[in-house]
Amino acid sequence: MTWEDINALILGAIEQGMAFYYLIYGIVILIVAVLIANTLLMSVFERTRELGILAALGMKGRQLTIMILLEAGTLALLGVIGGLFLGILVVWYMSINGIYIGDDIASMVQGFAYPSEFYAKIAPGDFLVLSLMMLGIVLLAALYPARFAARMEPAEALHAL
Amino acid sequence: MAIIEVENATKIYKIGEVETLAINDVTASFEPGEFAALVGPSGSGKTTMLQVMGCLDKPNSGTVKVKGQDVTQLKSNQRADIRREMIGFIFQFFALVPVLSAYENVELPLLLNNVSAKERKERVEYLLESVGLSDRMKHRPDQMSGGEQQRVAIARALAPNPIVVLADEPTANLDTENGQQAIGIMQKLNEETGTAFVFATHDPRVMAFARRVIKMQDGRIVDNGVVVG
Repeated sequence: MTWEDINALILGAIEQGMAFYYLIYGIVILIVAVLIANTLLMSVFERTRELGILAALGMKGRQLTIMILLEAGTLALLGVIGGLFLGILVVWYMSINGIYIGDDIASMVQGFAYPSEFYAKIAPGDFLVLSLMMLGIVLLAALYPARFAARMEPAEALHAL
Repeated sequence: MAIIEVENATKIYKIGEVETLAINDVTASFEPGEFAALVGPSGSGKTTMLQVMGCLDKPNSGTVKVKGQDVTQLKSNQRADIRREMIGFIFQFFALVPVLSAYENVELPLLLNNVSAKERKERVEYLLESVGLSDRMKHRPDQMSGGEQQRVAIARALAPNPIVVLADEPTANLDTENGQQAIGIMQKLNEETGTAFVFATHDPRVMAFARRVIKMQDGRIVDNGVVVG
């Protein structure tokens, strides 16, 4: 008998719980996307004049779009690197020291092999998928502000002078 | 051949329900190497005239030709090409990119024109030296005075070797000394490089430098000016 057989009930509960986690993931990602789109749009508004100057110097709409997307991508990449660093640090710490849930809880769950400490595990696949997903979402959210910047008429943008 | 020809151009701005006639059936042409001033009171259409000439805006009717090509028929990307290769701009508020140094601001149009690194360096250094700023190359706009910023803007406008530089009230934000210096530099570079300069102004001291003065009023040209000297 494997430990999975012994803990079938708990594993089943965890699986159901995961569906809830995915929902939370979805909500968090949506909030992040809206925040990023809003921040970038504000930055485009604040720099209307600067974008007008670049257009006056002969920058094309496509080049302005790429510039805003690159800017968003760079910020996202820095964020992902920072997040990965902090995340790995915390997971690594918990993989060594574990999360102590107390002997009482462990003993309360009778009939199951339940430890008093859980250990975290670094899951490179999850890190990779979430990081790429975040980059993708940021670029997608930046698309609207970028197109907005590209469509501005240079004369109109310079009126913000 | 004229470098810029504006024929019967009319531009109407709509703000909400209100329509403003910015320029009204205007015709003017500009020759290579000109040093011309567009003068007139506020709201006489000087800025709109420069924007229409500089492919920053399209007139509602009439044509604008740059080197014989009707730019009113072009798409926005094609107008961007014309601006990048043939037209330099100087604005009242200097309009430098705040995060870039003087050197980088002048280099920007050259980068957009795919000029080689070696050529860029030579051109930027030559231009900043011409406007007397060889010791300020690494300074950002917020570390320079208004006069210095406007001189960087003059260098930037000339960087891609344009056929014409359009300047909108280039001295309005400068004191007398810096204003005279800026216009003096523009005049010197006009003579040295043969690039035409057309500037909007209502400063009589600046008008005195112009070889041709075009007078505007209520969106119309009331005097097309005679080239002097």
